[in-house]
Amino acid sequence: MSVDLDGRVRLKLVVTGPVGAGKTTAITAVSDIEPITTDEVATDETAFRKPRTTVALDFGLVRLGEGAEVHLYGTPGQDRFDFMWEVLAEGAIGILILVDATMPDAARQLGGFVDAFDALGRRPLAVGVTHMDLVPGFDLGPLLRALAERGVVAPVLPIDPRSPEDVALLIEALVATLDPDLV
Amino acid sequence: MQGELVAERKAGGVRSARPAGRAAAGTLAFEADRYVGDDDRDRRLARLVAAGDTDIRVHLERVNRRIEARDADGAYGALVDLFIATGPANSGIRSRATFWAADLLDDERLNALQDAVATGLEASDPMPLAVHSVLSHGVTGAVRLVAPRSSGARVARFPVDGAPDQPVEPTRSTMIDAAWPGATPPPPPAPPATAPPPPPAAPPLATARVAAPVATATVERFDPEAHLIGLLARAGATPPPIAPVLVRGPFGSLVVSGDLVQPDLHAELAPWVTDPLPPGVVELVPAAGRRLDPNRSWPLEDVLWNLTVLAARGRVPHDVPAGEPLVLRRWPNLTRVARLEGDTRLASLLHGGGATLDALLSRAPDRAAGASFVAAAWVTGILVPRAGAEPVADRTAAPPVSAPVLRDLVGRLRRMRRA
Repeated sequence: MSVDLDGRVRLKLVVTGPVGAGKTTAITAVSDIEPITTDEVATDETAFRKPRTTVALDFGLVRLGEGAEVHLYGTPGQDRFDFMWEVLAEGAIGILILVDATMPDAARQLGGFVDAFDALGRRPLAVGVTHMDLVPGFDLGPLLRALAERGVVAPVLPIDPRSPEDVALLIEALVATLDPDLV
Repeated sequence: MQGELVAERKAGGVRSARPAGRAAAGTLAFEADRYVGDDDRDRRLARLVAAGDTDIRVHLERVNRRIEARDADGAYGALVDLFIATGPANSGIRSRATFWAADLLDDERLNALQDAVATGLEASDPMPLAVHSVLSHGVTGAVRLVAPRSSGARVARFPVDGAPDQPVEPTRSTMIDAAWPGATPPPPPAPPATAPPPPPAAPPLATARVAAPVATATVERFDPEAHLIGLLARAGATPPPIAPVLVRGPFGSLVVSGDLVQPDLHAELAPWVTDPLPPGVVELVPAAGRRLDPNRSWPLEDVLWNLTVLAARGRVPHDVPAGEPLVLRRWPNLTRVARLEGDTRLASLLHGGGATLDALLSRAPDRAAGASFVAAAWVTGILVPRAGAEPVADRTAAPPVSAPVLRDLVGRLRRMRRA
């Protein structure tokens, strides 16, 4: 949390996860402004999943009363941009991790992101699982085990990142982990 | 032929070759038309693959052309070659290409490919016969004499591309919508004049953890096993070869197989959910061999959750212990099931350190909704006594936050959900 010179409160949430999990889409779904993105044409294996990819950050905003704002920062998904993760995690009150259920190594990816952001300071987190409709009978077990092995208690919810309702619920779940009486 | 091909490649000035026969994406300007020959493009593509050192786009074009021609054998052979040519890092490409051909492939071929999506294949790996593969060694047997039994079910395990990037995800069962218009829980029932009917002589719910009924003066109880949800949970716990199981009644039927349920209803379900079932009206029937349609099936857990909320109406199952701490093994799928007032608070309380029933209900914004939450979580097996749950350490060292701003945020998020 930060307070600017006018006394307005700024909260920061980070949205992270692997390429194609829906980070930019999720921020777009709830942002009050047209998200600021740094998309570029994908030239690596990402091109087989989507034509463009985030290379620095995505930025969205939720405006609250009395000038308070919640800033949503989306990270690039590729490991080689991980230098941005530290910058974006600075001062964040929580982390939303999105994972793609269609990826065979989704649990390993989740564990990798938890480890990477834990190394930057433990923060409450919530996990959104996208594309679950494409995997009938998808087993959340490996994802839950990846969290439990790291001593992490966090909500894991299936979401459609295009749905403001789903993304809003995931953020609410994150807030609930901060203090259940806030929700 | 291979010698000519190499000479042509040199003459044509192709810039680089792939190391170790592995294809990599996006690094070579491939133009198949440069390799002239007296046969068609498909043969030329096959020869390029056979020659090795091939750009992955050759493989993908070869797969696509066979799919467009509706040539199942050719597409399967091209896929096998793609799986052999690509290394562990290309699982996404293999997954996608398999999806493209899924409707052409029989179950045996599709399952074999899906099993290899994550790792790729070696040329000597046993696979169903691929007569059009130019890289496979043609091994079709297996060295294992005993193998895990496979259901043989055709299960989609790949991402859709070529289809929209973010496909529509289901929200809530239309069956439940029909049974519960507006997703508003019905009012709690009037206190029963007599004791609830005894449970039918049947195995207990697979999800129930505590056998002895516990009575409390503070919350009403009900017996899930006397309701449709009891039969549904029992059907879901039925192992093969008896499963799938048909829950058949005057409303139609529900086919349950593992963790999926497919409704086939011709009457409203709600009246059969809220009250205990009269004896003999609804039955469980083995439906071995019946396959569920993935497009018409719903997660059993979500359906069971919604129906339990409908049946509970502010009551908790009779066997939920009153004085023992309860804990959620994980959060329920709140984006997919009917919402209850205070559900995120209850989930957070129960998922962290856990809480006794009385303590939980005292912190619930709405006591009846809290009891229904407990009932649904208990019947679906997500809620367990803490002693039976795997201990999970709590997360610490959260930075300081502003409670008023966060409350404001939650209010804003809820308005967003209602908009």
